[in-house]
Amino acid sequence: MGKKRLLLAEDDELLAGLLNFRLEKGGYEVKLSSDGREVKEHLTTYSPDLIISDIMMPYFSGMELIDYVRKELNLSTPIIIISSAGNEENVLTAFELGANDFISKPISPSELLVRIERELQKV
Amino acid sequence: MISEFLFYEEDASKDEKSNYVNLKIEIRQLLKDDFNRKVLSEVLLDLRKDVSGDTQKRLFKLYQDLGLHTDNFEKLKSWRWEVVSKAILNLTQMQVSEAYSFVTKFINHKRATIRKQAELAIVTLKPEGINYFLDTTKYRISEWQQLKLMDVLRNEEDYQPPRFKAWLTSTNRHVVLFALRLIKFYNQNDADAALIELVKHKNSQIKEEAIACIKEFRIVEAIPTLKLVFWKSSTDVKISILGAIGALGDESDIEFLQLIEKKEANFSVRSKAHSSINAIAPGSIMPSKGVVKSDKYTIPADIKIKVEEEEELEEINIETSSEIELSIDSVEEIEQINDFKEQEIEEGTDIELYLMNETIDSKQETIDNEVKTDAMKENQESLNQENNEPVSKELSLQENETLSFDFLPLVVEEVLETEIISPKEEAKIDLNDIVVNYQEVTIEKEKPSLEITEEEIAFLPIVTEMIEESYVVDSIKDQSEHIAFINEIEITFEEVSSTPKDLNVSPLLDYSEYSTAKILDTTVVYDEILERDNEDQIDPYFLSVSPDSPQEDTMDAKSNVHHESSKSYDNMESQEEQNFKKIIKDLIDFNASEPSEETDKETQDWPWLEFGDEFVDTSKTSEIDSEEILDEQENDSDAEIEEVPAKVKLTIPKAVLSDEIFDEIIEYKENTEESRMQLLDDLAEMGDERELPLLNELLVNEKYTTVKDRVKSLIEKFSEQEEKPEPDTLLKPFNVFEDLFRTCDTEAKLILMDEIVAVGDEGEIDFLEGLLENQETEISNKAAQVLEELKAKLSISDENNSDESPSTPIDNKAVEKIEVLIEEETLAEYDSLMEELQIQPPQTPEIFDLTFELTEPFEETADENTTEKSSSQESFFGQICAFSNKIIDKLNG
Repeated sequence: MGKKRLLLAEDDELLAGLLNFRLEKGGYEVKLSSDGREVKEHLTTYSPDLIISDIMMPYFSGMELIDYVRKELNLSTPIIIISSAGNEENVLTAFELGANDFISKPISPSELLVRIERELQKV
Repeated sequence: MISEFLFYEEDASKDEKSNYVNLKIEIRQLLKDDFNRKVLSEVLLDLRKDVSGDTQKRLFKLYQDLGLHTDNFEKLKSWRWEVVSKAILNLTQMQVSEAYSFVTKFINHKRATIRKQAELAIVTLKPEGINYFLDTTKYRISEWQQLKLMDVLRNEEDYQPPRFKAWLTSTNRHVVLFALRLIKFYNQNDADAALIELVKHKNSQIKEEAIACIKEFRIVEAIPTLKLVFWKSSTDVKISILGAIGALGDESDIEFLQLIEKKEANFSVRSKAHSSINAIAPGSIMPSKGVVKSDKYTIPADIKIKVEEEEELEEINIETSSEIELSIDSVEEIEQINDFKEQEIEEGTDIELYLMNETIDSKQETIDNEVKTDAMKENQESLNQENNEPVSKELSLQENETLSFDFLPLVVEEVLETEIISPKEEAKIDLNDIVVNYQEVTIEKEKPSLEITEEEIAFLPIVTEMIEESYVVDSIKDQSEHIAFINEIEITFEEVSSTPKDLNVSPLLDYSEYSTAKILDTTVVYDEILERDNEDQIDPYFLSVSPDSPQEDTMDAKSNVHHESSKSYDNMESQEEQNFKKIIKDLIDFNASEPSEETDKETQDWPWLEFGDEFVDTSKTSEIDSEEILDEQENDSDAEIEEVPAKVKLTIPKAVLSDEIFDEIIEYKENTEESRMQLLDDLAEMGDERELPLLNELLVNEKYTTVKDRVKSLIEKFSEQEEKPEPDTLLKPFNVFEDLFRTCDTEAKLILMDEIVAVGDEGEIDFLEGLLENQETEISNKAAQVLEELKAKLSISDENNSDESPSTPIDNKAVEKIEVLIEEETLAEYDSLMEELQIQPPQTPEIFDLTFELTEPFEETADENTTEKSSSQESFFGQICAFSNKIIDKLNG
């Protein structure tokens, strides 16, 4: 069984690098994207098992990305949203648009791994 | 690389371990460069914000392992506040607990930024940091800072807060305030007493916070304190207090809240008081402001009730209400008749009663019929007349809730009640009659027959029934007996009220009198008791006013209280008359001095206090005495004028007892040996040689040998006093110059000696002779010169005095001579002074040679001012000369 492919969309390079390191170390194949447009491009050529996205990104926000995946691409790929703007409104909107999970920053990489594992098991 | 460090696991493979070790070596090498250190530090600080949990802990550990925190320690020594502040922040963010001791010294830093950063740091770094902070901080803690600190504490894991009541006694009011907030936040309800005390704090913020705590912890014991501090508090505090009372109070506090409602000027406090009252007793105060009266709400004309039955009912309601008014009028009529009937019955016989009942019943029957028909004919047509409750039932069925038919069912209910009760309450026949009328209506409704039955007669009346009862009771007695009966009741009441007083006060009262006494009699007796009370109360004061009472044995006073008081009272009355006559005589004959008039007036107003005044107010009597003495001695010789006041001054405190007073005392006082001895003691204590004639008189008249001996000893004592010279004459007179000489230098001393010639007298001769032996030759020479001049001056004045006869008044010529001499001397002195001071006065005062005449007063004063300014010295001497002239003029009358 091959590695699960993850798409990580995070504009903060430090955090992205850290998470990338941890996720790869956790046995996942990770594609990094630093903005929303790049994520769109990736998605046209690459179909991940799970998408991890920040909300606030250049060009395309995390919310728009959910909407794009669910409505335009009609994909049921699990989406985990990570954001420092963990207010109720964002969380509710994200779930309404079709996000599978929401993690507020600061995030614990260990926790993220557990959540990814859980979502992948659902699929 | 950082990720490798952060996510390194102990159970890693050998390759990973070797890689980890290599990275460690590499990073150590890199960190030798300051820039790299800085970059790595920034990266770690940045990552700290994004990661949490175990990764964050590893991050903190890595930060310290790499020794990056030491850079911050170095920065703490910086003199730049922003560097220090940043360093404290970094250490705090990276949880470097070692930094705690370094940061604590910044807790009272003069710069607020560093101080606040340090506060947050120590609270964050160690749980006990808050204790240290609250103990040591001297500065104010801003609201924002308090929030930040609370946020830090709130986010502490496994935090065990200290008991913050420990800081309620802090002298820093900000600490107290913060402690209060923490107490509230952590629900520490063990500081009730301190919280109650803090309600009295002068700071409103602390007050409010304490009140909030009290409210939160429901400290009911604080309510009295809250009430106490309420009136002196600010509006916000008042509202808080009212909120607390509303939450904690009970019905006993409503009175206080109502008082606030009346007294408080501020409307918001008043409305808070309302809400508090409603909080304690819900619904006790309804909203009134802006609420339109229900009368003004009318149903619009265009909205008609569609159901015909409802319309009918509305009409019925209106009509019946008007009919009821009519029926009430008729009831009043019946009442009048009933009253009349009552009177008749009181006087009359059974036959009369029967007849009256018959007539009344017939009349009432017609009225009842009217009422019945008017009130019921329209809406009761469909009702079953034998049913008691059809009205209410039918109305409820018709759903006419807005129309008030309440009176109808009420009537039915009350009928039954009053039927039972009314016979028992015959005495209260006023408003009940109205109810009775309704009763009739319904009864007739029940029993529609229009015939007058016995039941109706029995009912009619309350009046009739009462009459019957009273008739039974009083049938044997006549009217006067009836009134007597009432009087008896009242007398019994009086007897009860006066009994305890009788026991205490007067044995003279005969209890048997009370049984027959009328009300007026009893009040008279009571008045007598009051008088006796007053007398008894006055007695002690009265005795104290009497001359011998202050030293009188209290036991004796008690034993003779009544006797002596009555006796002295009689004496006083006679003395009052005498005094009054004396006063009138004085007013007519003698133009008395003002103080004596005052005392006379006082004695007129308060004759029984006459002795007391003379004893107590010694100053007044001494004034009178001194004036009398003055008058006498003025007649004797004018030469003694100056000596007498001095003598009087010395004797004033002792001259207390005059002959008159003593005579009065003798008259008043019982002629006992003991009392006389006491008087003589008083004399010995307060009297002087002026009491000698009196004592001699006493010696002659006295029959007791002991008293005689005492009088003799007193005479000896006072005669010795008389012979003694006045002590103050031996005293050396106070010398102004001598006093001044002690403090001034040689030059000033020389000037002063010149002044001695000008103003000195023989008193200065001794002083000058003393100065002759002074070590400084200048002063001794000058003293010799001044002494000669002074002696010469005094000899001239002596000659002048010897020329004039001492017994005759001062002659005008002599006065003129003295005036000339003074002028000459002062001018000579003035010249010498001018020479010494090297001042050149204008030789010819041209300024005084005015070519015009001064007429306007304003111009005069202006001119005077200018002269004073130009030559103040000259005007000063002029004033002295003028003053001497004035004195001489006065002496000449």
